[in-house]
Amino acid sequence: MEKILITSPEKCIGCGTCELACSLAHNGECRPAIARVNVFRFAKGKNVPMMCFQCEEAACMAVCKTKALVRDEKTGVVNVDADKCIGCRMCVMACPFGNIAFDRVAKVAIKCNHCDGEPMCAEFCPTAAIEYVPADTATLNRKKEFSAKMKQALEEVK
Amino acid sequence: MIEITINGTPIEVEKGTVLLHAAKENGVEIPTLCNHEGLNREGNCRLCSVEITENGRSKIVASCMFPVTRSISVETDNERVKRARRTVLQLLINRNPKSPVIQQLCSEYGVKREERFALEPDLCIRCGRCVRACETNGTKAIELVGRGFDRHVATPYETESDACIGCLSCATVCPTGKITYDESPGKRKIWHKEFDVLKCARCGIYFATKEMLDWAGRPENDRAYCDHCQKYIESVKFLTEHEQNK
Amino acid sequence: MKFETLSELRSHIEQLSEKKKPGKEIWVCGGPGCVASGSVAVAEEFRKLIEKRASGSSGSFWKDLTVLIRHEDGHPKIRTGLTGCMGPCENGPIVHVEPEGWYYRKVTPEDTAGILDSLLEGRPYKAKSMYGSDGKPSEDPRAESIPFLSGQKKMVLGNMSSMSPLDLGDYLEHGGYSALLKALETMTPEEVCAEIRESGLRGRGGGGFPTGVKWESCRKSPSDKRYVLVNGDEGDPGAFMDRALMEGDPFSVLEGLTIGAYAIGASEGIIYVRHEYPLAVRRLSNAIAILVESGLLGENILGTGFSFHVEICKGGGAFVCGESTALMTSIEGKPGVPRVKYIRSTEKGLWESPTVLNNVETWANVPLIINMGASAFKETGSPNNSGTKVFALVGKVKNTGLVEVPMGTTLREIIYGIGGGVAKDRPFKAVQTGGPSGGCLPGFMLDTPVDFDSLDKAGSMMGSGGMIVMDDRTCMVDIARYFIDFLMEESCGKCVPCREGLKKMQMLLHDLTGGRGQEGDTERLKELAEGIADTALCALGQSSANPVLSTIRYFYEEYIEHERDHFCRAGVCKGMFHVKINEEKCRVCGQCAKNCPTRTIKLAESGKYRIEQAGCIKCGACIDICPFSSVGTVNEVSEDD
Repeated sequence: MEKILITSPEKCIGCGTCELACSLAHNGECRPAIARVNVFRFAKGKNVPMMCFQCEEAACMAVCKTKALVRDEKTGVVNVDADKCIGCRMCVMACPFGNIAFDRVAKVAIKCNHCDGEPMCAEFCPTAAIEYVPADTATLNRKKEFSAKMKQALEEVK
Repeated sequence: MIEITINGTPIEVEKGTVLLHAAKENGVEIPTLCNHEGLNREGNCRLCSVEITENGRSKIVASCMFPVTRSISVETDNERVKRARRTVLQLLINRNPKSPVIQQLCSEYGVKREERFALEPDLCIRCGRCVRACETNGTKAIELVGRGFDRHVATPYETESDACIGCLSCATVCPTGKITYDESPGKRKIWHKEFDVLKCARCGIYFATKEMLDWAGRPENDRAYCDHCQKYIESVKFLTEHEQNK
Repeated sequence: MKFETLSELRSHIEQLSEKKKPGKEIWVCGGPGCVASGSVAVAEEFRKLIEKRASGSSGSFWKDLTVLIRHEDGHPKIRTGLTGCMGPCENGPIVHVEPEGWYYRKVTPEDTAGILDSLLEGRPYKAKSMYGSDGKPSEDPRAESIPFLSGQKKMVLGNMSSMSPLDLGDYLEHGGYSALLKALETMTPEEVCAEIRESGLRGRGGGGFPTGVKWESCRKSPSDKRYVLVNGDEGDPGAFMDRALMEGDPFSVLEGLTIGAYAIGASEGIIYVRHEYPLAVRRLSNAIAILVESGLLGENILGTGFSFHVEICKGGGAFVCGESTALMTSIEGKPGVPRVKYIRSTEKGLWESPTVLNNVETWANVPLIINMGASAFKETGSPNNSGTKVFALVGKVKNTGLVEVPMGTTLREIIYGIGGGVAKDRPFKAVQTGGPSGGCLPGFMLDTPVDFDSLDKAGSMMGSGGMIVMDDRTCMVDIARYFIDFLMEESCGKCVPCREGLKKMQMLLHDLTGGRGQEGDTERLKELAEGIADTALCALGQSSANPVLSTIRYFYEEYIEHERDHFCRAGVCKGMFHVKINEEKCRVCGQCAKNCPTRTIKLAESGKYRIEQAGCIKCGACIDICPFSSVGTVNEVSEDD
């Protein structure tokens, strides 16, 4: 069954372990700047972990001309095929959420790929603010609801 | 499926697979220069040459282009193949002595620069990856111009091109580091053209040219932030939503 | 007139053969060589003369300088005009009269009255006879007694000396379009393919691939769109076979193409001609327009339901565009650069559709085969190499020109029989076949039969048919340098071995011919050439090593002399030889002294001529002029020289 990452801001303590785990898993070094997940810390101890939503209609995929961004039909995750990435950054330009970035050293687009089914952020999150759960109706609804609101919010901006 | 042998080991590959991929999938590495998995293949550099034998006749082919359609036997590292690669590398190092990737390959194959045939050093090996990247991206700002020895990469009339969006993919895919650009706060210069680079309204880094955002179809009213700050903005919205829900 | 049905064309052709009445024809060669030596003025003069004398005749001045004087009843009484290339270019302008079959050489406008008068009186005009077998002007102007013509077997060029390239009527009179008629009336497309395969016709562009096999494989490739292409991008220096055909007999090329289209199921054909052949383009365009008007091209040809359209595509003249994939890329509107060809064009060619690309001469062979049948066609030529091949015989040969011989004719027969031997009777040194990508064969290979396999085996190639004869005053290293310079200039630069490798070969050859050769250079060159042959992307790149490899193979000594002694025995490479008179051979005729531009040849005390080395500029004039071959090159001269 498809699994998704669910974040619960109320549980997040802003420790940044997810960022460290992410960068370590992907790049072999603890460097939050190149992590695919980011924790944004607000006043009154409110924190929000953010990563790619693996959008159903992914703007990054649509704009990629070399098919370097491909969805794994089994998991629903949008992966970057680094061999095919030509570094045009169009995906970065296109993502409305800022969830795909460009690694200037490795010269490839980088984004969350659920660590190929074992997301380290969820694994190491001490408070289960990030959870890797089966995409059952309940969680999916939650995600859909969120997406709808997101969309609405975006349209308001426009 | 078609049965072929690579260096004596029989393997099965799907009809139409190019040799380079068939070899790679079976753990046989073949050096390449002009090949880029995201781009059309052209077979320009000839470094990926391998020897194929069919019906007792053998020839050298470019493995990045050769589709497996019949049962053949392939040698990827015998003396003839090495000689072919040395020929290519020898010619490259004579003109491109300063490129690290060429230097590395030459030392692997025991090829040294010949002073007598040394040409004016140039980093470009005319592999055309930049041109293909630009073409793939749909911008088509650069092309290989000139013929024979004078062939080189240029924008039309060697001047600034309207088509260039300053995305830097040409520089990214360049295997030798020939394609460079100048970046200063708020400005980027590549292929004779100077771009204004937009500044992130939140963190202040310069993140993209207007032309790149245009090309990607980013709405005009949604261009204030770099990707990281955009993520931040989203998190604010997320938090607000979340608290309202509660 | 427009032919609507097969039977209309058939009855027209039958009528022509019945009605054909004997008349006199005076044809003036309109080949490029003869035009350059003034044949147009000769044709003009004939026209004026005939118009004046044939009172009551109705004359029509055909565009493009062909004249046709037809008599009142509509049948030609006397006609004259320019034809395509007749072949003996060296002796132009050539005039050919029919039905006698006489040929005259170096005709000037002043000769026209004499030729016309003698023709009407039924006797030859001896003043301008061609050479006989003894090399002297022949009493007998018939083609059979002229070695240059009698040694040939004209099949493809068969009609070219006796018809106007502008007139479909002329072509039909000479049996034109009977092959298409036969194919459409009595043969299925498969049968046409089979007939061509059976005939053993091989690609005349140089590849030698069996044409019928190519057609069949294209026919079998599934697609609703197929193309037939004509490769008229003749780019070899000194070659003009295709040009002659396109200019001189465009209808036969188009008839062949139409038959090919019918056979493989193509509805579109493109003729790719280089821009430098404007006359060929004009002649072909004219022929296409006439054929469309006559219903022999276009929709529903002769009511058979078979439709075929032909367009001309002008190339920019890049040598590499003669390579099949580059040619197609060029037609597609992209720079003419070859593509890697691991999938045949017959499966994926122009616009990714199955395509048959054949050379001009190959297409011109098709109507012949259909008309005479495969087995009759095979009677000419040698096993596995049926038919004839047209060559442009040039260089240091007495009779240069366009020749057509059966495959398997030896080089000796062509050079000495037809060509009359080496110019000025100097010693033969080499013959270069196959253009820049071909090779040079030495004297002991002169008995090599000229066919695809034998030439390949000898280290040269058939190529499209250039044949350059060289004498002892040709330096083989310099020849290799010349061809490599040419190829370097023409390389598209796409792949490393050709782009960079030719540059390095060029550097090596310039060193060798410039007196800067180093020990091991010949080996270096050989190794490099072999490497390029192995790794280059297209056929042109791979064969670019041929001129070097074949000269090293057969003239190794000369390379070593250049490399080790910095000596050029042929006296070509500047500063790499001294000129010396062999006093034993000198007969004191004084020719050398008279022709020496620096006056450094003087009578010595010995009573013989001697060159004062200090003043000698090594121009070689004395070597060329000496009738006794007593002047030669030496590597070193002593003090007293």
